Amino acid sequence: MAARVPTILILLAAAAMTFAAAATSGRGAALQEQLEQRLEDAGARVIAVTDQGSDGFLTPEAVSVIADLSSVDTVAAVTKASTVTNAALGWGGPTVSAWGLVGTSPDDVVTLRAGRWPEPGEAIVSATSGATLRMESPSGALVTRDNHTYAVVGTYDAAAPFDWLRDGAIYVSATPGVGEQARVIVDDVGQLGPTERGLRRLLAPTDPANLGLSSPRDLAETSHLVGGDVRLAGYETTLIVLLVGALFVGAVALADVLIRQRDLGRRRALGITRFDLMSLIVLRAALSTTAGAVLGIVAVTAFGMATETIAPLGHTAATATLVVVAALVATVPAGMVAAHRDPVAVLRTA
Amino acid sequence: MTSVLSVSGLRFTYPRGREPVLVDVSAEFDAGETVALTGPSGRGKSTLLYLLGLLLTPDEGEVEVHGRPTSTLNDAQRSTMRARHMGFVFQDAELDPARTVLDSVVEPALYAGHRRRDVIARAGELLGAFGVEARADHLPGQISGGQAQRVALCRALMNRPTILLADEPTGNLDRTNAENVLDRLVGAAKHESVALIIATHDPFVISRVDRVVEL
Repeated sequence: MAARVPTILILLAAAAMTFAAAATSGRGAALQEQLEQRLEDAGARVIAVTDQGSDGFLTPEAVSVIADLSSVDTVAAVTKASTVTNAALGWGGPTVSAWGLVGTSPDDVVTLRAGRWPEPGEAIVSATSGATLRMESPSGALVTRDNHTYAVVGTYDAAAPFDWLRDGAIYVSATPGVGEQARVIVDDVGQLGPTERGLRRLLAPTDPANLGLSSPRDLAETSHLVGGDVRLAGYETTLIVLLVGALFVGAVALADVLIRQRDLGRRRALGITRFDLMSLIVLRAALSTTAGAVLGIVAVTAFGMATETIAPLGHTAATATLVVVAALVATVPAGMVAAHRDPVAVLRTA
Repeated sequence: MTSVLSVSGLRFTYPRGREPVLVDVSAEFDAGETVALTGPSGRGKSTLLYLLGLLLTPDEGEVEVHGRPTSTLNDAQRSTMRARHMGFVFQDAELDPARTVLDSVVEPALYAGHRRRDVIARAGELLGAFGVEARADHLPGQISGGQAQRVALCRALMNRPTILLADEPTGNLDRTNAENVLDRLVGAAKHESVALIIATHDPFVISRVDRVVEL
C-alpha cells in the first residue's frame, strides 16, 4: 500500500490540476464563446444607414455597390415610410406604414408566408398588418395618400434585423425610388468599423451630417476586449495551476525515488539501463497523471453541468493534455536522479 | 581453467572520499572457481565487488569480462553485459515486495531483453532446484528469510550468468540457513561453471571457497 501512495498522490494532483485549470479558464472560455456567438448573430452585425436630410444618396445603384462589398453579407434599403390603407375600405378605414424597396430583393428582408413575391407595382403585407387592414387573404390593394395603388399579392413574416417591418407593408415601385434608410449586415463584427468607413466614402452625401450611421461597433469592440481579458486571466490561472501542480508532482516523484532507492539500486544491479530506469519512473507518472486527468475531466464536466457553464470540450481536453505534459516534465528530474543515483551506496555492506 | 573476469591496476576513490579505497588491485577469476574477497571493514571488499559488477567505474585500471575491456563501454553496454553475464546476490535478499517470488526470479531476464513467457519455465525450474517452487505465487513478505535468500539465488542464476557476485550473502541468516544457502551457491557455481566471487568476513564462508583474496 505504501508503494501506491505516490501513485495515488500524483493521480489526485493531476485530477485537481485538470479540474482547477479547466474550471477557471474553461469558464472564461465558455463565457467568451457565448459572447462571440451573440456578437455573431445578425442583430449585432448590422449597420443602420439613414439619409437624415433627404440627400438622395441611397439610390438603387449605391445599394448595389454596397451589396458587392466583400465584407457585406446582405443590404436592404427602403424608402421613407408612407401611410397606406386598404383600397377597398378607403381612408376612413385603418392605416399602416408601407416602405418601398430600393435596389433590394424582398426575399432578402422578409419571409413569404402566403401568396407570392411582389412584382413592380405590387405589395405584400405583414401578417399583423393584413389583419389590421381587414384583408382576410393576401389580395386586394393598398392605396397611398398620393393615390398610388399597389396590388397585394402575399403576406410575410419579418425577423431581426428587419423586425421593424413586422407592422406594415412593403412594395416594389414601378419606377426606381430613393431610399431613406438601409440596413447593412456585415460578415462578422470585426468588419463593422472598416465597412462604416467604406460606406462614408461610397455614399458621399453633399452634407456629411446627412449620413447617419449607427452600429454596435463600440459594444462589439468592448466585448471583444473584455472577452480577451477574460481569456487572458484564464490562461494566467491555468499557468499558475500548472506550475504549482507540476512542482507538487515533481516533489512527490522525487520523494518516491528517494524512498525507493534500494529498489532502484537493485534494478540497476540486475541490469536495467539508466535510460530504462528513467523511462520507468516517467511511465509510472504518465499512467497516474493520465488517469488523474481523465478523473479531472469527469469532475469538471459534472461541475459544468451543475453550474450550467460547461467549458468547451476542446478546451478541457487541451487543458488535460497540458496537465499531463506538465506533470511528465516535472517527473523527468526525479527520473534523472533515479538513473544517476549510485546504486552501490544503498546496496553495499561494510 | 578459463579466466572469465580479470582486473588489473584498479584504483578507486569515492566521489567525496579523500583517500582511495583500492589501489593497484589486480586479480583473475576463472570459470567454476569460488573466491572470497576478505579483509577488515572499510578495506573495499564490497567496492571491489561492485567494480567487478560494472556498477562502479575505476579511476584507473581495467575490468575485463571474457577478455573484453569495459572502461570504454557506455551505460547501456555495461548494463547489458551485467544483465547477460552476471548475477548478483546481496546481503538482504532485496526482493521487490510487490512482485511474486516467480516474478522476482524472472525480473533480470526482462532487463536482458527476454519476454516473460519465454523464461517462465526456466524460473520454475530454478525455484524447483532450490526447493521453493511451492512459494512461487507468494509475495516476499510471506516467505522466510532463508527462503527469500534462495529466491535471490534463483534470480541471480536466471540469465545463466558466467559470473556470480555475492555481497555477504549469508550475513543475515542463521547458521542452518547460511549453510544451506552457501551449499546451494557453491554447488550452483561448480555445476554451472560459474565464477563465484563472495565479499565476506565470515570464516565459515571463507572455509568453503577455493581461493581467498585478502584486501
